[in-house]
Amino acid sequence: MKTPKEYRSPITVFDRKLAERCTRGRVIIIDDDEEILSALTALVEMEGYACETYVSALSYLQMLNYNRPCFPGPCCVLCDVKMPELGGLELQSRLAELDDTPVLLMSGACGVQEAVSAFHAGALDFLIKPIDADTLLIAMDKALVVSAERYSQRVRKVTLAAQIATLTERERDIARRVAAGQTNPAIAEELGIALRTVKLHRQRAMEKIGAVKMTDLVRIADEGNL
Amino acid sequence: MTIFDARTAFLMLGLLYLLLPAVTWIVLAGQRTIQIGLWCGGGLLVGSASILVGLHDIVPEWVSLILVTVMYRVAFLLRVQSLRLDLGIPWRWRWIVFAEIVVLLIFLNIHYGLEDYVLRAQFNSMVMVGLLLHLATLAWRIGRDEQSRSAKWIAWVYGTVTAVMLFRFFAVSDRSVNFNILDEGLTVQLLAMSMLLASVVGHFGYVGLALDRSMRRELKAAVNRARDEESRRLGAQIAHLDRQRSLGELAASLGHELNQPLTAILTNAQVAKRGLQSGRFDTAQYAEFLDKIVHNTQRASQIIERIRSFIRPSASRSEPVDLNMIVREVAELVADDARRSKVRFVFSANTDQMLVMGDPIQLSQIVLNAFRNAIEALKHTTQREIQVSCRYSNKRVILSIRDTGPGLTPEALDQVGTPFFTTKSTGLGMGISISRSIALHHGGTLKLTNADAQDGGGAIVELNLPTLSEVNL
Repeated sequence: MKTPKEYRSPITVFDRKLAERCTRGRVIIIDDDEEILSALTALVEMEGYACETYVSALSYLQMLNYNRPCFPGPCCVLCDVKMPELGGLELQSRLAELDDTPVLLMSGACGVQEAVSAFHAGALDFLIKPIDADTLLIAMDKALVVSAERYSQRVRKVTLAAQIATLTERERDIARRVAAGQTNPAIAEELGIALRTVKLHRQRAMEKIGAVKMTDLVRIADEGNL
Repeated sequence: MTIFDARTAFLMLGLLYLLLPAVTWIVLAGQRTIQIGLWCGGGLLVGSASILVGLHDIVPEWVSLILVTVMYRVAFLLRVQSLRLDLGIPWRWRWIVFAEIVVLLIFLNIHYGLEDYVLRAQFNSMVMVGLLLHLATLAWRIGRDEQSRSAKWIAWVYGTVTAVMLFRFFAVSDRSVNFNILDEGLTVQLLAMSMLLASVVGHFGYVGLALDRSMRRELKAAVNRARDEESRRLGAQIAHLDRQRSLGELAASLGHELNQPLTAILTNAQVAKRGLQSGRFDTAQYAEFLDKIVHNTQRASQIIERIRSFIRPSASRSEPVDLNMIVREVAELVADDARRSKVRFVFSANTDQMLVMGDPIQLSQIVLNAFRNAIEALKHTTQREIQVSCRYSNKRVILSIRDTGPGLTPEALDQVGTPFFTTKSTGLGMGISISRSIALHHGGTLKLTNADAQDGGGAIVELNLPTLSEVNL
């Protein structure tokens, strides 16, 4: 058997298709009833999403430990509440510690208590079995949009942090003061430097972090923890 | 003074005493007991003895004198014993024989040794007075105890005979010759008459008494049967209500159970419909979806059938039942409840048929009860397992259901199975007592114990039933 180092799988047509599906969205379905799993898989795949199924919450968590590579794209978890060993609500709280994948919960009996605690813990939606396909797809779309948004937010934060890291100490200080609403002369006076120097630093800082207008600078300062 | 010929009287008496016991024996053909046998046998002996008395001087002396007295005594001893058996205070047979021999020896001594014939007659009369008085008293007691007029009539007539015998005791005292009993005149006339009366009244009274008794017995049996019937019906009703109750408590989870196949059906149908609209699937794929829908519909109907068959108030059946299958079916029934409580079933590897004779619904009830108790007991423990094993042991099938809970407290162990004893706030306390009566009804036992503490503890429910082959034997 080959060791992982030597092993490199060739990219197949299947992979390409899967990658395509994953860019649309990846849905992870967890239910202890295999009949339901196969039915939901058929529905999700027909809509052009990638689909992964697990018969228990534990097996999904175990898989997460291995950090299996997968194609990029939005992702959501659709999980049954009542399962042996680890129920949907517990899985939700565990997942919340790991990452920000949106969770949809489904349950047979409408336990108001369950639904409330699910929403408190940040579930995007609570679906009652038997689930209508349209309702499920709408909820899934919403969850994938949320996932995509969270992803892009994360990406923006990372690039922003990188940009902020290129600023010199002085540039950063001045940019922070500008964002806080101080005028150029006030900054010059407070720091004991020439007005021209302040203007120069301010210009450079805005160029480095890609801010065109003052409002951009304020927003970035807000988001990027300048 | 002679009213009639004593010889004829005794012969008639003898015939009557032979006839009436025979008639009695025939009339009571349906209910012959040893008591009736003794009574009639005594009657026949009296009859034979009376005929021998009637044949006095024709048969040898030792027959008409000694044998006759022995026969009379034995006859009335038998009748006394018959009544004593009825009252439940029989004499020991060996004492009766011993007493008779003693009396006979005294009698022989008086007759041959002392040759005192008056004393002989007095002694004989006294023994008979004692016997007859005892007989009358016993009859009176029976009459009083059973409120039977017939028995009192018997007491009256034998009382009369006793009185006549007593009269004879005094009548013979002033005679000093070797007399013939037939020549005694008034005494023997009275005696024959009273015996005649006793034979008629006594036998009819006895038949009346026996018929009274059998009627009362039948009535009592009928009452008992009715009561048994009633209690069995009530038992079945309670068991049925208990099943309904436990299903009622399971209803929510059964709803969820039913939801699973329904979800699969709905989703499959909707996928197929969407595929149809977009024209994306081929026939084989549609067939697959339809197959899945059919399969899940069957699954749903199985769940409903399971509930229905459990709740149906059917008459108690008796058929070969696979205990292992029952266990699996009931485990399915509580599967959702178990899942919600995160309880895991661990079945022993042995999945062969374990056949017993019984009612599948009632046996399921025992298992359901045990499972639900176990799930309840596991609410507050970390390791939540129900271990089920089924094995043969010494021509019995032993089903053991063990949980990993805290087990029963000593008080609970002591009282478990008593009706209305419960440790649950919402319990009725009937579950185990119902289970136990079902097990008993199947010729088995239901035992509740705690597992060894080193072994992990927990409660064990052990159902012990005879195997199928054992029942057939």
